[in-house]
Amino acid sequence: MAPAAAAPVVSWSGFQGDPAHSGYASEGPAPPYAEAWTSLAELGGTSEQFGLSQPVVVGDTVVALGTRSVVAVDLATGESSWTVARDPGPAVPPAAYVLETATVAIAYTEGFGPHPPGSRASASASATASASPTASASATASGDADAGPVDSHLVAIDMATQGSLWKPLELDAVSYTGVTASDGVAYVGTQTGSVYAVDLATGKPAWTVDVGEAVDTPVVATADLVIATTRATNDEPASVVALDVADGSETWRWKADTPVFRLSAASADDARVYVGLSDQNGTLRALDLETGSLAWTARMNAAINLVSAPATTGEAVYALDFRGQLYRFDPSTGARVWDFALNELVLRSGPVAIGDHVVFGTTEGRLVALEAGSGDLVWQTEPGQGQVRSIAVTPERFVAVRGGARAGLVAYDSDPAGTLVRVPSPTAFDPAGFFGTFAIGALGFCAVAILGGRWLLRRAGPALDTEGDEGSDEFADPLDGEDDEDDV
Amino acid sequence: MTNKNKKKGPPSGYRAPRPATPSAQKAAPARQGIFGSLFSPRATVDTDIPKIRTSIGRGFITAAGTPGIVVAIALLVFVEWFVAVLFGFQGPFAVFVNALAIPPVGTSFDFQISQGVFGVQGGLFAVLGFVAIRGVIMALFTGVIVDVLQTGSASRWSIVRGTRAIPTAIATSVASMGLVTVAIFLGPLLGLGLGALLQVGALVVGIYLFVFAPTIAVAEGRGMPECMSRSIRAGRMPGAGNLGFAVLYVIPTIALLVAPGKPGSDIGVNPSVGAWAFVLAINLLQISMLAAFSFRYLSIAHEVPDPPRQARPERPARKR
Repeated sequence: MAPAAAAPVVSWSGFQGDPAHSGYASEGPAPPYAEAWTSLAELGGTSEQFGLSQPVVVGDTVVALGTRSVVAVDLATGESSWTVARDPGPAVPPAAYVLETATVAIAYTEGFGPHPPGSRASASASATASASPTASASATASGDADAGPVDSHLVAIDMATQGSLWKPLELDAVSYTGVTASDGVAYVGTQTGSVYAVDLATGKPAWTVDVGEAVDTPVVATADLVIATTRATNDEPASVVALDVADGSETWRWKADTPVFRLSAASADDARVYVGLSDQNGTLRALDLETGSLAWTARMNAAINLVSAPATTGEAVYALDFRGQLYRFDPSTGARVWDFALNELVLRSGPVAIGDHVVFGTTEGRLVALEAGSGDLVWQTEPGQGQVRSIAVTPERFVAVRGGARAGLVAYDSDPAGTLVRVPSPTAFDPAGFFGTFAIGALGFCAVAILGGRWLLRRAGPALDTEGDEGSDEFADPLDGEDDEDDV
Repeated sequence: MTNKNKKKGPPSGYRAPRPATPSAQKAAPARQGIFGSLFSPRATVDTDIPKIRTSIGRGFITAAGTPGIVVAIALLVFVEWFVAVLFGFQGPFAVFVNALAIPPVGTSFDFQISQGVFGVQGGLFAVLGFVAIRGVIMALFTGVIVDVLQTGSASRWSIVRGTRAIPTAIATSVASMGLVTVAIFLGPLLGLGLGALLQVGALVVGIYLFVFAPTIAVAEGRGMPECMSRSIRAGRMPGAGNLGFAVLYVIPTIALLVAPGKPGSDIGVNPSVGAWAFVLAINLLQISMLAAFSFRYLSIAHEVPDPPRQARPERPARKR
């Protein structure tokens, strides 16, 4: 279904940019970067620390979810376009899509289910927030009081009017997957293991499937398959489940071959599905998209953080572990092309490939850009502004979510006047540094230890009083008299 | 250099071990369970075992006061790190604080490195090689340490002496690997808390029972099985405080391993000067502890009871 010509372009439609979660923008700004604007969001409550959800970009508008509001800002200026109150719910990725009628819509889930976090948050977003477009009366959507139990449901609003497009669809449990929109259908997973396919034009479920266990991460949608990852239980291992996009029937299921509780978010290209496991130190698995068989396993030094997915460009797969090490793998073989160890925690961000560079943020608030060809770091910010979370890319600039005391959105443009650096990874062997630092360290160590040890030895005297104990003949020194000068 | 050629140094203040008494050699105690020395009533025991502080001090002086040991530590850690990097290991370098640790603490390091380099399945086979190499290294260090403790210096002959302990040291490493393996597999079944306790306990028990074996092999030239059983008897001697000493070694070692912010904690293959100095210094302390255990054994070697004699069933007289 082709959108009408007048519809604005959806630059970044959801988690990692598209329904396959590739995290790849072929066109985008190149480093060095400069901050274009910062838009603060008065979030309050549980989302204050982590900030907004993964943003989506439609035309000139950036949209993201707070715990109690939907926030839209102008891409050019960062000024607030509108804010809509929502029922309290997890700040998980929304999806942007265009209907046949050229209506641009945002679909998102809301509601914490029967066990909401017991936060007593301040009012959401701003005083200009309009009432929640949902019909749910159970929540104190914009209030100051405790959130209280809130049903979980799927909502869609018109970008132009911020009004609800259809009656919210009630879900059977809270959803942390966010919404994936593809070909006019929204896909949502819930904590009871249900995967919903919902017609975005009508809000009616096309099908609902129980995949067994909780679905924690965004659902992947390709042309033929809907792919969800499930959590492990005492009886069942964590798994990747592929469902037929037409009717939800199970096409294949890959069960984790090692005991891990959860899998990372998944992404896919034309041939494979990529998912991270926390086994060994951390591994990236590639599954055949048609059969679900394991194509390859690549080892890493730590696990991928569970809320991010590997980025894939077709020519490369980028995986980011929670210790801040980014790896580039060959998608067909799993061979490691390069890696860069930033050695800074990354708990809420995933890698995004922008043209010939890869960008990601850290928990300490640093934003870095690596060259895709060499793996060298070419640009970075100073840390300390609050943790960087998801990134959304447009051809002109990219927008990053920031948490902490100054939670909100930050936009970056290319800055021709800026400075590029070239920092090789600490994991690249540097002969001069390798041998030089050892020589200096070992010399100092030996000098101090030997001088101190010999001085102490002279003061302490012999360890054992062995007078009269010549030892048994069996162990008489055969080199006796020859090696008195050969002290070790 | 042999004992008779040695110059006597200044008096050490150390109490000379008493000659073995007939009662210590002959009257073997009643057979106890493996942890009998832990749970039996504490008896007042007169023993020549040095105090823990004395043991640690003497161990450090022995290791640091022997240039060959200090230089060997630096070279061995460097070679181990270099080989690990060649095989694709990327750190953190700080885990090499246990490069020269006594088994089974060192065995845990072997597991970590072998799996870090070769993966879980490949690492299970590779660890056998690591364990054998550790056995050889521990035997050679023990040979030098025993010579330094007994004669005041070491020579090439010390290394030759050390080679005699290689089978025993490898057996110690293998036994330690068994302990660690059991703890690794059983640990998760017991839950987080008990599992961690089991894994720490395995390390302590390994040290407690087997740490003296290489020293016995070097100092007394006994066969491997006898060294192992004698090490267990020496460890379990009442009043010796060997369990406490083992705990004192294992707990700080683990604490150091998991402590955040220490030099060399980052992923990377080019350690800084500070990281090298830190890791080498900790490995000197590891060998110092090996020397401390050797010193403790040599101080009480004469007190270690012989194994209880097995009562032989009488053979029926042959009829002609």
